[in-house]
Amino acid sequence: MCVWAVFFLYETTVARRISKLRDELNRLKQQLRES
Amino acid sequence: MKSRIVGSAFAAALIIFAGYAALYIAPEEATMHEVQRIFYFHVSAWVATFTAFTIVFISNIAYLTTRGQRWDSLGVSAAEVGIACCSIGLITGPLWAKPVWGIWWTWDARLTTTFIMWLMYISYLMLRSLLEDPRHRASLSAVFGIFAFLDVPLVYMSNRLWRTQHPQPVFFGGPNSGIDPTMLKVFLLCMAAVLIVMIPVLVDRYRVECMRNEVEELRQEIELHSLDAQSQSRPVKEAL
Repeated sequence: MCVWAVFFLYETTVARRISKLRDELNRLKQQLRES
Repeated sequence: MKSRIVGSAFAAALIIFAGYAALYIAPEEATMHEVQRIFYFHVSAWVATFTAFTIVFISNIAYLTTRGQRWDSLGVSAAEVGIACCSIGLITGPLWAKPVWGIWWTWDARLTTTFIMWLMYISYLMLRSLLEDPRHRASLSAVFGIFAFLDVPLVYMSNRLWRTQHPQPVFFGGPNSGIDPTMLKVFLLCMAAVLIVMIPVLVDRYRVECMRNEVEELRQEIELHSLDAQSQSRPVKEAL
């Protein structure tokens, strides 16, 4: 169980990072278009 | 999206079946009994760790020869996934050791070199976080990654070279090594499950690194744009 728990927790942190970076990318692209 | 759902469902089914096989299909070991079943995931975690650290090593060499950014990204991604797998091995090991040896941990050659390997790859990630210049960071961490990999064959060979509390090798360990054929099949299934779960995690982590690089490039572009805009507006203000 602990094997899959570590994988799951790690994958959760990766997914959270992807989501944050996607938001940041969209914001920067918008800023670049406006400038 | 659909392929991702299918992939996740397949991985979940494989995880459940591997767990079932380890608990119910594999025969009970004669001396350690039920607790030996941790072997199927403990050894699989180490196979995944060695695979990840070998990817780091290959990526580091490829980065130093080609200077391609994607090799640096792959290197750091595999290092992080490798640390996660190594942590699984370091958790399941003591869980197995306590009922069998009577102790959680001992500083024998196998366990010590493994702990050093874990620390080395954590240092690899810490080193990267300390360096700001991307090229400098990639070069220095690639050199450090190659140095860290020296410990990987040492971990593998440690219970062959020295007498250890850790058991002697089960696979490729000479004439007295090897396991029951059903145990071997279950072990191969569990190893496949761990590796199949590890690969998409590594791909996702690689995506994080690529997006991070893209964010960095966009920030630089925006900075250049604002500098351009400032230098264009300055002569007008001066003329006024």
